[in-house]
Amino acid sequence: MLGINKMAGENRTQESAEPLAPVNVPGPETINENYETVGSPLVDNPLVKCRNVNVHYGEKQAIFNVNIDIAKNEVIAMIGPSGCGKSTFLRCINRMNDTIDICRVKGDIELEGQDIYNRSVDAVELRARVGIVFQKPNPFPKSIYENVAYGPRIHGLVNRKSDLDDIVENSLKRAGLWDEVKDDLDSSGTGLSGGQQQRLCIARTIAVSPDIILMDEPCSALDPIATARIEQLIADLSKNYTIAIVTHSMQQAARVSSRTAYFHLGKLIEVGETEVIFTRPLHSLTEAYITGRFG
Amino acid sequence: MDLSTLVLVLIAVTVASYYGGVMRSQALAGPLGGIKHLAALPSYYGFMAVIWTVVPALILLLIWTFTESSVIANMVIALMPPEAANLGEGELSLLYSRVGNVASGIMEMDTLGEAYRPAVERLVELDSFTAHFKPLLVITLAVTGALLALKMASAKWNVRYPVERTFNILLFLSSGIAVLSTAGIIFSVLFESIRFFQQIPLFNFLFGTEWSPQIAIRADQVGASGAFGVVPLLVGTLLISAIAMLVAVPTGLMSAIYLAEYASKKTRDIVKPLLEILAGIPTIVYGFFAAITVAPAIRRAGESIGLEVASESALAAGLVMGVMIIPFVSSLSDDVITAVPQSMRDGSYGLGATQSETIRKVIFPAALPGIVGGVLLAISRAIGETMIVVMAAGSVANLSINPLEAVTTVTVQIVTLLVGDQEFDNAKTLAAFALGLILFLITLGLNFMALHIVKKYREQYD
Amino acid sequence: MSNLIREMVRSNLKKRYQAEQRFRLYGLASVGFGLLCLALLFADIIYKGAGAFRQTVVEVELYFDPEVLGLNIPVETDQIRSANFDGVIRLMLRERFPEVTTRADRRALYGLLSVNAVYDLQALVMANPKLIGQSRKIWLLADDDVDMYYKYGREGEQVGRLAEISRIWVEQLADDGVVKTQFNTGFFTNGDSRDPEISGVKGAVMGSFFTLIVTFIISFPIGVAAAIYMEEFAPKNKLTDFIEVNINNLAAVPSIIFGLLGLAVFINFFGVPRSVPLVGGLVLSLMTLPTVIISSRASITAVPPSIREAALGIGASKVQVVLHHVLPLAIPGMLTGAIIGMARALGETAPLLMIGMIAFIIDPPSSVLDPATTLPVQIYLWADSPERAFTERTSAAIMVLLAFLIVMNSLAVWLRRRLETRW
Repeated sequence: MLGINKMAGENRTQESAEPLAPVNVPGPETINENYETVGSPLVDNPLVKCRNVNVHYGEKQAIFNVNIDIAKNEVIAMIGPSGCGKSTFLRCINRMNDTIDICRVKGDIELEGQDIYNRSVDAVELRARVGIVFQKPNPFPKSIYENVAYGPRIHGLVNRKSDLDDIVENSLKRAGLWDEVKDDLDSSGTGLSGGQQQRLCIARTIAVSPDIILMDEPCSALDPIATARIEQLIADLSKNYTIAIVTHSMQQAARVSSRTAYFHLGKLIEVGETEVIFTRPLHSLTEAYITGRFG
Repeated sequence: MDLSTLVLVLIAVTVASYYGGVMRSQALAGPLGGIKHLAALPSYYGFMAVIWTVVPALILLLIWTFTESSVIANMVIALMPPEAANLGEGELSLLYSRVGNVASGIMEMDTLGEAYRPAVERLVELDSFTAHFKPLLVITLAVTGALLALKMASAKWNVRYPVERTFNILLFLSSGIAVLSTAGIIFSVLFESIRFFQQIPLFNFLFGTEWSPQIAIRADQVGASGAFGVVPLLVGTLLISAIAMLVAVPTGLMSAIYLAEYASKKTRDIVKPLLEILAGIPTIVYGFFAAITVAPAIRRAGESIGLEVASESALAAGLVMGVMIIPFVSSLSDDVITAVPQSMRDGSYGLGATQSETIRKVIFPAALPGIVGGVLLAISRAIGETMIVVMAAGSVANLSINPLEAVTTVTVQIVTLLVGDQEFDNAKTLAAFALGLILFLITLGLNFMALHIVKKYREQYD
Repeated sequence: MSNLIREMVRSNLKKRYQAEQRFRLYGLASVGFGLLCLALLFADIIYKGAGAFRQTVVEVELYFDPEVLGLNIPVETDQIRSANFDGVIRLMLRERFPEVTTRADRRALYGLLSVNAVYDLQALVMANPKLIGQSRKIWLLADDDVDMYYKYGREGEQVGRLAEISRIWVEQLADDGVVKTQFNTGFFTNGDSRDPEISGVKGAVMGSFFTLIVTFIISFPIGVAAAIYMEEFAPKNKLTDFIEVNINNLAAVPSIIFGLLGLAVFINFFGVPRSVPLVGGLVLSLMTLPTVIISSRASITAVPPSIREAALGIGASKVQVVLHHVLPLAIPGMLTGAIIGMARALGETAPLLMIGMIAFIIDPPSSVLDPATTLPVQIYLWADSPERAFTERTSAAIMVLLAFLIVMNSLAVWLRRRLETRW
């Protein structure tokens, strides 16, 4: 359904004069300064377009020259060993890294053709369009209702209490939490179970109707049953939202995503359709990772 | 022999006993083939000897010193003529001090009367007895203890246990001092307060609206009402504390927020210590500043817009007290604000909240219990603050909530009542302790609540 | 995201950023207010007190006439003590201002110089009896009102209560070039006095010193011992919980209550003499004890458990572990806490008022059993005095107090930096 370029990147097109290498040709030794992502990082009509993204924490560089597109209404998974920069990259997409003093982002990230790091773009406005769900559920120490109503309130999306009630109800319904909490919306959000808290955070995020939802290892703090519910929820949400999910679980990536990106030491190694990545990876590092040789 | 010489001799005996113990242990170890055959290290034998030297001698010295004056007084008073027995407590102590003066030769015998000669002679006798026998007995006990310890020492007895046990007991007693001082505070204010309430009914004290503690010296004295109603003092205290809080809480809180959330690290590193200087300045300096600079300035400012301001207005004292409390509020708020987990901030920013929205709607509500605890502690400080109000607030008890008038506070009255001559059977003096009791109970309640809230708050995020 | 919502978000942005700016401004204003108050306080104290470090003196030529002094020649030393130096000064003044004749004016004239100038002359002549019968130019201390006028009043500032006629005399003397200000050494070497021009802070500084010595000797060992017990030995039970609650509450009890405790327990019950540094130190040590305990406990917990385990593993007893390993590592932190506690005790006034350390004492104390006052109490006493010259000295005494506090706090910071944890 998506127009994914099988042959991504101009350079690779030029290289295609040479015989196309069989699987596993680029070895780890190719990971240098000018590494080019293999697979199909770019798409037609991207919602988010990232070019030459570099991220520094003070002196230390965390992300090296990442090029990737995110298509509308796809679920893209970002995988890789811990410390590979996948979360850092994710946080660039809604400028969450702005809140870290020493963090510097270079390169272009465009949302619907607009450079989000342009001066004219407001981080506050951007974050209303690009929601984020964090690793650890972090409901505010307020009531369930207030948690969900927080976004619409600060953005001034509603004028009447009844509108707000509708938004809260719809968001909770979409997050699959409504039936469990509809009778005690006034009780504290921190009193819910871990899985419920995470769904509350998702409801909180979708209450401002974002274009894209970033999920930073949303299930890593949850038990398997709660994880299953969140994964089901991601599948449901993908009908209406674009979702970028960072996960350390390859199974989860395989289950929920249509495309998968593999990061290694701050470099984007390979991007491809999930099925392809997990069955016929192009890069030896990707293969090493998915076969569990490190992680 | 005076006390300092005695202490020096005791120290010398102690040091000698330590080395005695060490040498004794080595002497014991010699025939056995070295100190590894001893049950404990030589130094422990030394410490053992020290304990036996110091502990009994010190106990004797303390008991003797603290009881000698009352024991001697009782023995001397018993020899006074019968009319002395009928005197009141205050007059008796006056008489006793005159006897003492005669005994030490400051006054002549005839100023007292021949009837007191036996008492005076007895006092002289007893004084010279303690002066000679106390040091003698204490030192004898110390030396005996040391010798006994040396005699008891044996190679088989592991002296480490008793020494370490004594060490433990010593540590425990030290930590008990805190409890003792609390007990001391409670008993000292409670006992004198009870004596006060025997003279002035509790009800009149708690609900009386008039405070003028000048008990009549003559019955016909003008203005000698001797009213002890604590209400105006409490109102004055609360008024000044409220002004202080109006200054300190918003300023302290906003400074803490600014420094924690907005300021660059460099600014924070410079500004925070500077603000904390405000907390280190003695209250007497603030008092002087309030009385000499702020109060006249407020008075002039008030006059220029046609307001009548008392020269010792509650406003001046309250404002300056507020400035003093700013760093207190700000450092406590800073602690609780930084204790709010980063994930809360991330959640809010992730939804597109601005920094101030995050602070006002997420961080502040989350930190609220801790902040409330901090504010309660600050209030308790304001209520107990003394020097600023002594110097800048009035001493006349006006029942008023007008910040431009002079009011007085509980602490000011304690100082006023107790500075100068004190007689402990006078309601005026005892009233100070009753005020102290009230002050202690109020601040204790506030501290208890505050510490409890803050503790609960910390547990929540730990 | 629908365009409608995007529009709504955008339309509110301006308002929200204004609120953001306002909020930030409040924060900045609060910090600014705090700093302004600090600056004002210091500027005010320095402005008011700097003058006290300079003092007005008048140069006079005195003839030590044995007749006026009432001395026979040859002079015996103990005669000098009762000699009439006043007369010499008065004679000199009458000769300098012959036009002054009325009794009242003459009294004003004699008031130009400090009444204490005679003691300076006495000492001078005692040291050098040959002066008798000779003339000598000498700088004598001016009266405090003259001092105030010469330092401030000449520039038109309305200070002091020097009479108009006296001002004219001072101006005449100034025109002769015999009036000057010099560094006020007396401020640091004299005790308290009723006369501002010879009052100094030495007595108060010595009193504070002795009081702090007592405070430190009592509160530091007991505080450290209590902290060791609580951290290393105390079993977790109701009793230790109770002690802990007690310590925390004690830290927040108003200082004046400790004064009541000192009055009722130390003075009335145990019969410790009033007004002496010993009783002051006892009271302040109880007051600083919680601070010392709390900071000592923090230093002990900062010692990593691995060090204790290492020592225990070798077979050291618990006491040996504490004395040989924990305590040496924790002591710098404990000292830092104790110094900060001492600094607080140094600035404390209220409890000392309760136990009579507010008496007017001229001679500096020489032991913990001599009646004394302390620096903050001296400030309180002077602040209450009506003379303008005392206001100046109060500010100067505050500067001395603040200087001590700055030194102590810097010492604490230096100690902390220097002996920072080495593991």
